[in-house]
Amino acid sequence: VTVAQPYQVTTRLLDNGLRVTASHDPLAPGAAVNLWYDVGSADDPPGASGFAHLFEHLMFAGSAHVRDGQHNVILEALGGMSNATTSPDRTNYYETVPLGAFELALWLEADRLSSLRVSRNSLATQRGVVHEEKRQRYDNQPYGDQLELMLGLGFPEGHPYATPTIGVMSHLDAASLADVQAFHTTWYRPDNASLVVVSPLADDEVFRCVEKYLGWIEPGVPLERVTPQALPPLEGVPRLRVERPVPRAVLDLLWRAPSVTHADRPAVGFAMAVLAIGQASRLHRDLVRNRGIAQGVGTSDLGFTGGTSLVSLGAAPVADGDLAALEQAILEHLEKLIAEGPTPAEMSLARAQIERNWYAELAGLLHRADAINEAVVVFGDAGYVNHQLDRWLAVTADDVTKAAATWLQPENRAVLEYEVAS
Amino acid sequence: MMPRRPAVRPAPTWRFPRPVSQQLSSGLTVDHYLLPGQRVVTLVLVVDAPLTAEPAELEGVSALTIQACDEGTETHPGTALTEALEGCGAAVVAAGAGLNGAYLSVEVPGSRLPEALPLMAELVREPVFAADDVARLVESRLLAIATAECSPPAVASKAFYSALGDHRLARPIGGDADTVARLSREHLHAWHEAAICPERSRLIMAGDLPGDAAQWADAAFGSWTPPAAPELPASVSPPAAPPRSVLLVDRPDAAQVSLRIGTLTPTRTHEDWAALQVANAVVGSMFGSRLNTVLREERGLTYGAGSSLGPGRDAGVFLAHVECRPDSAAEAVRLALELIDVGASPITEAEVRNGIAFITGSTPLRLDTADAIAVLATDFTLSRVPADWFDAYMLGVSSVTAEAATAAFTRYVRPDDLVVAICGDAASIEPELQKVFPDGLGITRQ
Repeated sequence: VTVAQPYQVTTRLLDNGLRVTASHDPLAPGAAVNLWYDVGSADDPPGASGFAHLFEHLMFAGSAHVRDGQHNVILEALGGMSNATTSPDRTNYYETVPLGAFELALWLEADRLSSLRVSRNSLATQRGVVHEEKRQRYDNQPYGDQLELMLGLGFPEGHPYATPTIGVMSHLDAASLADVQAFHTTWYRPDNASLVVVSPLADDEVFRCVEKYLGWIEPGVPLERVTPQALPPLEGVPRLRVERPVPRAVLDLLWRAPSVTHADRPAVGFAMAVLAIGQASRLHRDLVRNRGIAQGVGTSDLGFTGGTSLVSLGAAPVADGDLAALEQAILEHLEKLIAEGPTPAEMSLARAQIERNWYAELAGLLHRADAINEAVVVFGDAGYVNHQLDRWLAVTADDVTKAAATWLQPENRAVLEYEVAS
Repeated sequence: MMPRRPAVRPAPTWRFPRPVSQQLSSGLTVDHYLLPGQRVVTLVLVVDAPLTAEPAELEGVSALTIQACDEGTETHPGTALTEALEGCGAAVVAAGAGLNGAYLSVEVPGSRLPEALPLMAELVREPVFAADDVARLVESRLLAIATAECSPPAVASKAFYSALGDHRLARPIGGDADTVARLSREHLHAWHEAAICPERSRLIMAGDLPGDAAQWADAAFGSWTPPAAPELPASVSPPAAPPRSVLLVDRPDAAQVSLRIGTLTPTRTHEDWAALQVANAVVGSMFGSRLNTVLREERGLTYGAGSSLGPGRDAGVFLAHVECRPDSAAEAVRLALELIDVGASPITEAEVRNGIAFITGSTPLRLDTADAIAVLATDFTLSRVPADWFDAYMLGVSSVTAEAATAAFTRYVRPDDLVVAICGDAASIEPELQKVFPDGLGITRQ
């Protein structure tokens, strides 16, 4: 295994509390500007599920010097690209621009951080857009409500992670302009944000520009963000059976899992990789190839940062198969892993795959800037982007066995049976 | 206080990376794209084999053959092959077919190229296509087809292509449920022998390649000398412009209405191509395009509306797409047809400036990974376009005028001749749609 050649990262804290990280890359074809605000759908106001995400749309709906919708339009007309995403834990805004438009990207971010100007009309329009986003991405897709059902099984009602980020449409219909301004005042402030710039510019030049465009913005009153507490393991094997108009049933087994920063998270990641990632994984080899009872297997980790995340093992049966047999087979493999642990060959294979995936993640500017921001915001150290892989590669077979026993006990699972409507 | 809006310097001229080509004694050409800093290397085997060579009753055999190659070889039967491949940090990340050929793509850290290349060569050269594995892949493909049937956007796209007339493009590249169900290991073996050979192939290697990459490529693929393959039919003939048709596919449970509007155009070798691309940026490929500005940003009828202009070897496809709320379907169709009508509302100087800056400025930013370069190089290979074509194209884009963009677009995209495909709940949207299309509407019920 080769050692990661480090990326250059230099961090500075501005007087107004904005965390700034410059990552000098002489090969970068332009500049990536990546801004994280420490607010996500977990912070949706009570009775306003989906508000943080609707608000993300409204950050493009006008500010003191930028008309509604022009943020993207101005950048596009200079050859740049911009967008934003909301997760339960953070909201990020990003621009990838030709170098000559770097300062303009900062200026645009500064304008909407210091002065949001949303009209009643823009709010109504973006509410309509979000309604259609939910229909397009979830309601009008086969298996589109799987995530929502998994969250409902994994988290108690009212928990910040129990509802998908897209939220509840009737809640959004009640949102007012006053709510929008209040959300901006509460969360959108330099001392609640982290800015990463990947570019061929010298660090000093990056810091000078960021200070000029964003350094003058006043911080807000001290903020207490309540992050979700860790939950105990699931008990009693909660089980949900739904019927949907899909061609094939799907089974998901879920566990409450370590958050992104928890010491056990890499080891749980290895356990999942050994079981269900790639064609050499145990479930693929046995359920798909040897026994021919599964059409496919897979795994997911929702990657939440507050206390508890959620991992899943999933499988679709073959045409005449059933979910009970699949569940039984998966549990047998899990018990074997907990009892005997992974083999040296499996560990070596998983390490090699994790290494390639990590390098691939950092290959492009946009995702690298995002990974650096995760290092700053979630792990509290920009340099972590150069150590994250080492942390994963240090995991031993024993760590995996212990983590599987701690986090993935069969009796601590929940089960989603996604059946074909008759 | 807020500083003044800064001035912007123009983006520098950019060139598509030039490959260094290596000719192996086996007849295989290897293109090396040296991309410093790109630790993960993308390797693509591209096979020039047109789908016209597929027997009509076995359509989909090209795609399934290349997808089945990593299911085991003579040297590494069963999962031994992927265990070896994944064990050295590599993975097959994509495999599939297009109208004119097939591709198989492997990613691996550059440091482990010497381990991955022989395995990649092995799976291309000596796949066993075990009967069980083929049957399983057939089932997977059939399930994917059935799942697409439950996805209204996929149904609308399929309906659009089906209206392109008597041409292979009108039928799914990966075959339909009937043809796929017939495929067996014998069919895959026959296609493998006929189509996948060094003379017809090219290996693309993109990334921070080790200094001895050429030696490793030669060691892996230099001895690939299968028995002479038969001649394949000539490439797929250029399709004719499709006749006007308006199709409505009924999906009573659909949560939205999926709209596709488009037609065939010339492709990238045509003199109008640069002007067409700039026009398409203005009409639908930018966030600030006409379609997205009106349908999303002004009206809030959709999460996304836009268009694409994709090049093939012989023809391009212009395709506008809207996913919209059911109660505004007729309005969205009417507006989309209006917004595409560049003849009625010619492209302005300001629009063409934005379109040019968007294409020339964002292209280098999008092509910042080995994977992105390899994907484009694969497309060039399948379309038989040399890599230096791209620089000429970018230069052509820079000099497109508003008149040229309008003229090129209206020459090929005429609102009254377009294919329109709609998928949604017919009972609720049909009456209003009849008013938009008084000449008639072909309706397919479920």
